[in-house]
Amino acid sequence: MADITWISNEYEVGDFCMLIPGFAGQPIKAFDKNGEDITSTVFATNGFMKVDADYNPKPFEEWSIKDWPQTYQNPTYGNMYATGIAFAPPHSISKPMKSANGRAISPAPPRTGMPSGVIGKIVAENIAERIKSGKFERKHTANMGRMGAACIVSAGYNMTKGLGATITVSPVVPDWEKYPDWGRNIKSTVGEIGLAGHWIKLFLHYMFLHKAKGYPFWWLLPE
Amino acid sequence: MEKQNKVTTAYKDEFYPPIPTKATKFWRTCLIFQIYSVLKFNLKIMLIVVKGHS
Repeated sequence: MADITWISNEYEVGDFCMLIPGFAGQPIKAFDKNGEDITSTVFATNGFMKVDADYNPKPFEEWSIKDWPQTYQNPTYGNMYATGIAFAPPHSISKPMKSANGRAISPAPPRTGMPSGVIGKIVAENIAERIKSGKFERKHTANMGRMGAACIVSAGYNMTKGLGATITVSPVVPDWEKYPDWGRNIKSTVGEIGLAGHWIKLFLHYMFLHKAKGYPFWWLLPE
Repeated sequence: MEKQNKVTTAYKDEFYPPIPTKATKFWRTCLIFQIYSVLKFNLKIMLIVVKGHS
């Protein structure tokens, strides 16, 4: 039994407790060229940057993947983008719940790793095309409701006895219109522990470094 | 001083994680099956990556 005493002397009791800092952006201020404070225009109250998402408050039953951003561009200042964990999500992914004590439990969407890589890539491509052509077409999009992700967790290092947990999710944000039963493609949303995960992770390590260092044919390697 | 043994028990039975059976542990490190898994997961990941891009 774990007893945790919070700073406010409020007790929460559970079998396993994990203390993590609040998931919020940096307290950055923004000013326009006239010196006016535009922080509330650029950033949401949680410190993340507003992008082309639907921030209108709505109940869980009305959440949709269309609420999520496509091009990750600030709607007011088109020269600013926020990728990965920098953009303000329209809402959480899972249904907000409450503990027995009334404490809100609202899991934050995972926006690290693979989704961030894909988002960063399409933003870079849109910016490059804008610079080259002078036109602002925003051809490249990456909605998290249409994007899958893979994650591999190491669980032991050994080429014949090691383990890795391979987790794939498709899409990251559940699309209840396309997949009314589970919100996700069940064939593509799997999790398995085994040697295969360890081998794949080892391969990915070399692949990412090959790409990061710009070695030959790095541009062929996907995010 | 008398040393107290601290016994930790979960609140409910379902809070205990499922323990893998011998068969489960065998398949996790069976080379032939895991080679097949590597191919299967690589295909899944590639499809996810391809479909995820606009």
